Amino acid sequence: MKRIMFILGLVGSWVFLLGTSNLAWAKDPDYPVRPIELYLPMSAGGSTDLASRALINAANKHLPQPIVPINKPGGGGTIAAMAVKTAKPDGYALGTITMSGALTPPFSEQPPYKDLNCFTWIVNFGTFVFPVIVKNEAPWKTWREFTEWARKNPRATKLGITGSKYSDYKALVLWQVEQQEKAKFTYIAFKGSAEVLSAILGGHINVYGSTVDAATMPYVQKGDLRIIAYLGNNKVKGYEDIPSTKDLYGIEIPDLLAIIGPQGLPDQVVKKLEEVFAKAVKDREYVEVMNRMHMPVIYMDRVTLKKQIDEAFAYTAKAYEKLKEEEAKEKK
Amino acid sequence: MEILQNLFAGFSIAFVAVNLFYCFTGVLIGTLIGVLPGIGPVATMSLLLPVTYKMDPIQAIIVLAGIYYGAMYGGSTTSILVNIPGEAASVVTCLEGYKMAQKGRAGPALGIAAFGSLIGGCFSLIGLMLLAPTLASFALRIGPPEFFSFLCTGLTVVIYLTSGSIIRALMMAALGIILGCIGQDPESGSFRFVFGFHHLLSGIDLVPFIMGLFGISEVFLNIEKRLQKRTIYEGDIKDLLPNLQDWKGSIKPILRGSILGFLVGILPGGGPVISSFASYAMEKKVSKHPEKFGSGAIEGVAGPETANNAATGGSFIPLFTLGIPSNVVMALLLGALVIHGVTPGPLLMQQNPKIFWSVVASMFIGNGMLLVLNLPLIWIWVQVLKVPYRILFPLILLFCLVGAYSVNNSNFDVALMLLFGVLGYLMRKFKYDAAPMVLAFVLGPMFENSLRQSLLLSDGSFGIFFTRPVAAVGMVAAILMLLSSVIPFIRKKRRRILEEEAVDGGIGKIN
Repeated sequence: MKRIMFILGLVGSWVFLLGTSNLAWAKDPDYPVRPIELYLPMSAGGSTDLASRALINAANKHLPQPIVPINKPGGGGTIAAMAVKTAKPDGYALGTITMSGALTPPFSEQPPYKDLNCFTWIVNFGTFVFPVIVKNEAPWKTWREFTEWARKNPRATKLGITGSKYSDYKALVLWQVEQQEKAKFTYIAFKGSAEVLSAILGGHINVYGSTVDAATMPYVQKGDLRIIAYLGNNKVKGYEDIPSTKDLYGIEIPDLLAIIGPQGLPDQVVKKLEEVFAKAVKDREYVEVMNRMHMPVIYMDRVTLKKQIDEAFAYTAKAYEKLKEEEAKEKK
Repeated sequence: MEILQNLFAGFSIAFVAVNLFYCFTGVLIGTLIGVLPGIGPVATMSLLLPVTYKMDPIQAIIVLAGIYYGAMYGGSTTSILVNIPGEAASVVTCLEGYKMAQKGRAGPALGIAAFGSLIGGCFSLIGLMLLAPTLASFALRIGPPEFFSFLCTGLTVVIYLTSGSIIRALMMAALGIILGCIGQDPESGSFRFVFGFHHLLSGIDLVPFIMGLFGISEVFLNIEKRLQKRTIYEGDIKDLLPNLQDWKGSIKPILRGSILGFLVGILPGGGPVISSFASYAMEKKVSKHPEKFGSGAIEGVAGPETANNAATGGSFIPLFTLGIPSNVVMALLLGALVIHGVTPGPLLMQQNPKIFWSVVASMFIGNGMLLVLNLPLIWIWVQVLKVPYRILFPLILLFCLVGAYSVNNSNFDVALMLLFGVLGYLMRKFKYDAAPMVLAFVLGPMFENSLRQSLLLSDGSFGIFFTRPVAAVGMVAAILMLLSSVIPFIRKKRRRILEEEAVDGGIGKIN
C-alpha cells in the first residue's frame, strides 16, 4: 500500500511538474518578464518621439516591466522598421511606425521590404494633421481662390515639403491634388517642418505643406499664417470649417502612428499589448501631450489596423503606379 | 532699463539653490562629455530628456542648456591634449592646440580656451538679451539664396585649413563633398551611393565621421610607435596659465570670434561646428604671420574656441523668439518646452518672460561656473600628457566606440567609424589633412540643398543670387575671398616655374 502511494505520488508530482514546466517554457504567461525595447523612427524631441514616449509612460503604469524607448532615426523611418523586422518575435522588440515610414519605402528604388506583412500590426495610437498653410497677407483667402490662381500660374506655387514624392506621403497626396485641379506646383524639399516654417515666415516660399506641430500653430493663432486646406481627413481643433482633401476630392490619408512588432508575434503577446495600449491611449497625461502637439488620438485595435493597412497599401501601390506612368509620359 | 529689471528677475530665479544645483549639474555633465571623445551633447541630451520630464520647465532648460555649452568648454581639452576632438566643434582646435601641447604649452592653450569660451559665451548672451527680436527677423530673411551665398564664402576657406599642400587640401575637400552626397536625394528621393545599406539613406553622421578620422586614426598611428613608455610630452610642462604675451596675441581673435560665432549661431543650420572653422580661417587670413599657423599659434586656439561658445548663445535666438530650432540641439530643447506645456513661438517672450530671462541668467552663472571649474582642472588635465599611451589609448578607443554608437543607437555607425579610422590613418601617413574634408563634408549637403532650393524658387535662373541684396553681398564676398587667395598662389607658382625654367632650361618640375 505504502509502495503504491509512493509511486502514485511520484507519478502525480511528475505530471504536475511536467505540466507547469510545459506552461513556463512554451507560453511565457507572465509576459513581459523583462523590459521591452521600443524602437523610435525619429530623433529625440520631435513629434513622433514625444508622442511615443508619452504613450510609453502611460502604458508602463499597466505593465510589470517597463517599455524602454530607443531612438533609431534615419532613412525616413526605415532604420527603425528594419530593426523591428529583423528582431526575434518574442515581444521584447517593438517599434513605432509612421505613415511615410510604412507606406513609401516599399515603392522606393531599393525597397527594404516589399509589403507590410513582414510586421505584426499591434495598435494605432494617434495620427498627424497636415494643413496647407499660407501667409495671412497672401492674395488667396480660400482654397478655391488658391487653386484657381495656381491653375493660371503654373509652377508659381512654391510649395515647401519635407521630402520627395518617393519619401513623403504628403507629396504624393499633393500630386493627386495637382492632377485633379490641372495645376502645377513646384515642390521645394526642406530637412524638416522647422525649416519649412522659417521659409514661409520669411516669404521665400508661398505654401507650407508639412505637418502641423507645436511650433506652427502659434503663428496661425496669432494671425501671421492661415490654414487654407487640410491634406487627408484630420483637422486642427477650432479650425474645422476649413475644407480637407477628403471633403474636396475624396482623397484620404490613412491615420497611421502605430506600434508594430516582427512577423509571427505570439498571440497572447499581441493580446496583452493591445490591452495595455488600449488603456494607455485613454490616459489623461497622454491625451494632454497629444493635444499640445495638435495630434489627434486615434485608437485602432489590431484587426481594424490591419484592415486599414491592407487597404492603404493597395491604394498607395495604385497611386505610385499612376505617378510613374505620368512621369514617364512627361519625360517623352 | 526694462532689460535690467527683467535680468534681475531672471537672476533671482536662477540663484535659487535648486536652480543653481541644476545649472551646476548641467555644466558638469557637459564638461565631462565634452572631454570624452565621441560622446557628445546631442546623444547625452537625448538620453537625459526624459529625466527632465519631472522637473519644472525652467529647470529642464537650465540643465539641458548647461550640457550644451558645457560640452563646448570641455571639447577643447581633448583636442589640445591628445589631438582628438572631444566635440565636433573642436576639430580645428587640434590644429594649433595639440602643437602647443607638444611644445609643453598645454596649460596656456587650455587657459586661453577657457577664458575665450567665457568671453564668447557672455558676449553672445548680451547679444541674445539686447538684440534677440531684431536679429530674429533678420534670420527669417535668410532664405535659400542667401544661405547659398554664405556657403560659397564658407567653402572658399577650406584652403586655410591646411598648412601643407593646397592641391591636397582641395582634393580632400572634393572627397568631403562626395561623402556628403551619400544618402537619399532630397528632391527626387532617389538613392545615391547607398549600395543597398539602408543605414546610409540619411547620409553619414558627423560623429562617426570625425571620430574615425581624428580619434581612431590617432590611435592607429600610435600603435606603430613603441608603446612602453611613450607619453605625449616628456619635458617639463611650463606655465599653466596664459602669460601677457599670449593675451596680447589672443584678445583680438577672441573679440572677432565672439562676433563671428554669435552671427553664425543665428543662421539656420549654423552652429558651433561651422563657426569654429570660420573663425580659424579668419584668424589665419588676417594674421600678420600666417606661416606660424600649423606650428602652435595661440590665435588658432583662442578664435575657434571663443566662436563655438558664442555660437551656442546665438542659436538660442531663433528658438526663443521664433520657436524655430536652428539645429538638432535646439530641436531637443523645443521638445522639452512642449513636453512641459510651454508653447514655443513668437509669443514666448511675452507670455513666459520668466523662462527666457531665468535661462539667460542661468547661462551667465553657468559660464562663470565653467571657468571656475576648468581653471583648477587645467593642472589635472595637463597630467594626462604624462599618462603612457598604453593606458590612454585603449580608453580613448572605448569612448569613441561608445560615442559613435550613442548618436543613433546603431552598430552600423561604429563600423563606419572604424572604416574612417583606417582612411584617416592612411591620410595622415600620406600627409593629407582631414580638416578641409570635414568642412566640405559639413557644408556640402547644405550647399547642394540651398542651391537646388534657390533654383527651384527662381525657376532655374541664377539671377536670384545677385538680385537679392543680402545674397549679392555674400556672393561678392565669396568672389573676393576666392580671388584674394588664388592670385598669390598663382603668382607664386608662376614665379617658381620661371625660376625653374631659368635653372634647368624649360623642364619645369611642378611640385
